[in-house]
Amino acid sequence: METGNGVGSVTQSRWLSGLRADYEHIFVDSWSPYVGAILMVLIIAVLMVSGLFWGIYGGLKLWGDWINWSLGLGPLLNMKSAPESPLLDRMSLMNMTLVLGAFAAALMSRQFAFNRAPKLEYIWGALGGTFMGIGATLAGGCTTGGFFTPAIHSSPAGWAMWAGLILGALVGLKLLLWTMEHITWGTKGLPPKHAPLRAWHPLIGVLIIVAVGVWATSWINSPNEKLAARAILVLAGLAMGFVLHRSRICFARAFREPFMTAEGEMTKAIILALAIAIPLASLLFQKKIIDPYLGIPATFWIGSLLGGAIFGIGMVFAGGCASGALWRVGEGHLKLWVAVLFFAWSGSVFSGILRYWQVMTPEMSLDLVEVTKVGTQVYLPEWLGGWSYAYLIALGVLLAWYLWVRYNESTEKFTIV
Amino acid sequence: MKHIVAWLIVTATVGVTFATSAQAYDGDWKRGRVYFRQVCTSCHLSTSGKTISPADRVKADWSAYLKADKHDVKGKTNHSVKYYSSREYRKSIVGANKAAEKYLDVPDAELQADIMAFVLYGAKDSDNPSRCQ
Repeated sequence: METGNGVGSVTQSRWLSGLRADYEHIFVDSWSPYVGAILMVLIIAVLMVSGLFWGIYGGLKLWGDWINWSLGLGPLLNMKSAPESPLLDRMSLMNMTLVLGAFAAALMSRQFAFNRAPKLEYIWGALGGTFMGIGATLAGGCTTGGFFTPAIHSSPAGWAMWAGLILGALVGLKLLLWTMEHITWGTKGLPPKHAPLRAWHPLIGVLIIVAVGVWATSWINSPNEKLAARAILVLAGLAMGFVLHRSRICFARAFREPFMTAEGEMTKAIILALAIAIPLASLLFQKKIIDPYLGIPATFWIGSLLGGAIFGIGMVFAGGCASGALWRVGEGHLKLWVAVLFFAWSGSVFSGILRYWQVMTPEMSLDLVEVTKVGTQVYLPEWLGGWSYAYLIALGVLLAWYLWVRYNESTEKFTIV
Repeated sequence: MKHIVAWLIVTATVGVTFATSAQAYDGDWKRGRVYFRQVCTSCHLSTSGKTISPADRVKADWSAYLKADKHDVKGKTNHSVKYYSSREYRKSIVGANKAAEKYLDVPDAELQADIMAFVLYGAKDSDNPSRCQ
């Protein structure tokens, strides 16, 4: 016969084991990419309601500008003055907190480790990062700011980059397969090196989230308008990094995998994200809550298509797109640290070179859209005279993309491995 | 009862319409940017060899400058800033300037608000300081 105390301790142990099971379920087990896609759209919606949009490349380029400025290359790259503080630039700040969010998620799931790649992979990381920097410069953004955000903002620039990314992923994969057959140097793998204090990782992860929350709160209440406006980015970046890590959302995988293994889950998750985000964002544009042109680069169509193709090759070699590379940096993948470093640096260098010839310098036309030497800012509802065709084009492309992925999953007709 | 509800709806609709139409014009920074670049900057560049940019001043200085409406204290050009966005001035350069031609029929007050919106949008202490790239 059990005493009251016995019943209490049994109840308590059940409660604790229930808590533990829930923790494992939420913070350790991988989330479905579909859940990640929906949560990603929610975070983007919060940004848009605040008059902001999600982009990554601008922040990375700023980091590259700082590297070049510190090396004394500023004047050579046509930089008039020192770049803005990485802590105040909107995209840079969100990138930093995205890495922190992914780092916290990796610690909480006990998945953080220094993942050491074979020597050759670091060379591919540097090469891929360099290509991504060049491609993102031409397209006016990476997979996020050049494809995903413009597509949400009903711009054909997003779809032009999408076409380039598909082409680039295909070419990149063929090149990578060729290297696998012909290069044997530096292919010996190394086991991951576990970080110290492993038992404390979940607690450290929680503390990082609390610390970033305190940071954001202190900025919200700041009398400085600029800091108050940045607080939402701190929280959005943290949430984005956490969600991307937990659901392992990766644009590179979405474009590469159908050609590699015919697996289309990530592609379908991205399709779902766009299918939700495009109509949702259109309501915000129609209600004039945010200016759609804010997230539309002046690169339609040459810059978007060409940049997408170059970026596509780069992301296959690097093993991740811009957002995918950042959350993997937070997880401890050393190859992606190299890829991000070269992405940032080459983006800054190539931007400087193009600045010399004023290729990417946007000028406002008399029709109040920006124009560069590689394209124009195009917003489908204004271009086509209404929302009907804009919806039809976007949803038509998404449907065609889905049907192709589904067909390929069933038949493996388009795999090249 | 139905009549009262109908009257209330009509009154509310009229009220809302009146309120929105009576709202002040906010200013379109994009149109301001085109005019500033193609009229103000190009003229400054051709006459003095120096470019001008919204990032030259902080928001408060721009507001004070435009409010004071003193374009040239030395008397070499028209003393009024507003004159350079007026229809009269636009008409005088219409053959040589596409922006003046395009926005010829824009009311003076609207174009002034556009220019104000642009310089505040790109001022030195704004969130988007414009820089010559």
